[in-house]
Amino acid sequence: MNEQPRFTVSEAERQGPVRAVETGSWRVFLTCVIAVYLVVSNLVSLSHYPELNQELRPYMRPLRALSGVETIWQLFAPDMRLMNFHNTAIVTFEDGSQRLYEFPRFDLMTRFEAFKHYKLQKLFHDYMSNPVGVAYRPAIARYIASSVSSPGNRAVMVTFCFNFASLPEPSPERVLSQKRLPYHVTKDAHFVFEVRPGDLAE
Amino acid sequence: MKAITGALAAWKGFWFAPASVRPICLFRILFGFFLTVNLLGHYLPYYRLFFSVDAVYPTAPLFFFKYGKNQVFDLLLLLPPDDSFRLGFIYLGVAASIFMAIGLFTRVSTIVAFACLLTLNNHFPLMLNAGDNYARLCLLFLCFAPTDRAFSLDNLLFRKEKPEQLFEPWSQRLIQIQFAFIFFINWIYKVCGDIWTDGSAVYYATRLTEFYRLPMPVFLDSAFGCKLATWSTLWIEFLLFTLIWPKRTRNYVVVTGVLFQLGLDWCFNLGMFEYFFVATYLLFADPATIDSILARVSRKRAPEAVANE
Repeated sequence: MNEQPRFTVSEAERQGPVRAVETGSWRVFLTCVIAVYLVVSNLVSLSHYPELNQELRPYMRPLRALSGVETIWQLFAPDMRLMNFHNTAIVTFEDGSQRLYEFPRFDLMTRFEAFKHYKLQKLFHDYMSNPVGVAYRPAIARYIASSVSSPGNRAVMVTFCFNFASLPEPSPERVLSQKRLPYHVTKDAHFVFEVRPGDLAE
Repeated sequence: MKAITGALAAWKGFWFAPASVRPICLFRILFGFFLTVNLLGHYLPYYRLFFSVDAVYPTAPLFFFKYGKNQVFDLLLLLPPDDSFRLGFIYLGVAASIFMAIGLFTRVSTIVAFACLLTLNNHFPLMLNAGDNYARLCLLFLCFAPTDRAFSLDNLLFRKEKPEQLFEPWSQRLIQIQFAFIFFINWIYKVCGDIWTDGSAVYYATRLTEFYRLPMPVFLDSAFGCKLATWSTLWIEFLLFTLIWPKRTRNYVVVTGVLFQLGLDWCFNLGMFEYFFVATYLLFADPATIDSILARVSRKRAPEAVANE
C-alpha cells in the first residue's frame, strides 16, 4: 500500500519543496494593503448615518471606478420597503392618442422568467421609482419614446406612473396572507418628459 | 508589550501561516461555474440593452452621474464602437470564467475574468446587485491566490510534479473576512431597524412580490412563523461572523449557513447572489473533511490532509 505520512503544519513546511522565503518587508506591505482595504471597503459601510456616508462616498468614487472595491451592504436592512408597486409609462402621440407601456412585472412572471430577466429588475423596477434614479429617468423615457414612435405619428410626451399598494401592518396574532395581497390601486404620475425631435432615434 | 507581541503573532498567523490550497481550489471551481452561469444567463441576454453602442442609457451621462470626473476602468471604451466587439468581449469573459473553473491557464484566466467583470460592472452599474459586488471582490482576491495547484487542468497538462500544497492564505482570508463582514454589517443594520427587532421583517420581505421565486413555506402565513423566521435570521447572521471562526463550531455553522442561503434562494429571486455565498462556505471547510469526502466519492483512500490551521 502506498502509505502517506501524516504531517502537522510545521512538519509539512519542513518536508515540502524548497521555496523562496517571503521577506518581512513583503509581509509588512501586504499587511498595509490588507489594513487599508479593510478600512476603505468595509468600515465605511458601517457608518449607519446617511450624512456620514454621503460625506465619505465622494472620496471612494475614484477607487470604486478603478478597482471596484467600494461596497455597501444593506440587504433588507435596516428598514424595508413596505409596499408593492409596478411602473408604467403613458406615451402620448402627436395625434392625441396614447399608449400604455408596462415595465417588466416580476410579480406576474413565471419563476423561470423572473430569474432569466432578473437584471431588468434593478433598472426598471428599483431605479425607476427610487429617488436615486431620478437622474436616469429622461434616458429611459427617450428610449421608450424612440421604441414606439413612428415618422407618421411621433411620440410627444412620456409620463411615468408609480402604481402601488402599501402592505398593512401585521397584528400580533394575524398577518395578511401572501395570496391576498392588495392590488396596486394608488397611482402617482411622478415624471413627465416632453419629447423633442432630437430625442427620437430615426 | 506581551499583548502587542501576541497580537502581532496572531495577525501573522491568521494571514500568513501556511494553509492547504485545496479549499480555495475547490472554491475556484464552484465560483467559476456560478460566474459562468451569471454571465451567460444574466449578462449575455441583455448585452444590447446594457452594453451595446445604443444602450438604454448613454455612457457619457451615466459615467458623469455615477463616477463624476473620475477615471473609470472600462475596457469596452477601448474597443471600436461596434456591437460585435462588445458581444465578443462578453464571450471573452465567459471563456475566462470557464477556463478558471476547469483550471486551465488559471492565473491568467482569473485575471481576465476579473478585468471583464469589472469592465461590465463599471460600464453599466445600474444593473448591479450585492451579488455582483461580492463576485467582483472574490475575483479580485482570487487573482492573488495559487488556485492552479489542485484540481486543475494546469496540473494535469503542464506539470510533471505535484506542486506545493501549502500557501500563505492572505487572499483566502480576505474573502473570508469580507464574507464575515457582510454578515456583521448586515446584522448591525438589522438590529438598528425597528421591523427586525419587533419581528415583522420577514412578514414584509415575504410579501414583496417581485422577489417571489418558489412557493413560500406555509408557516410564513402566520404571525408566529414570521416572528420566528425574523429572529432566527438575526441569530444565524450573528453566527456567520462569530462562531464560523472557531474550528470546534465551524462545521455546524457552515451547514447552518448553507441551509440558510438555500432557504433564502428558495423564497427570494436574488439572481446569483446566494450561490456566490454558498460557494464561499468551501473556504471555511477543513481540508481533511474535503479529502475524506473526495475519497468517498472516488472510492479511493483519502490522502492525508494537512491541517488548515
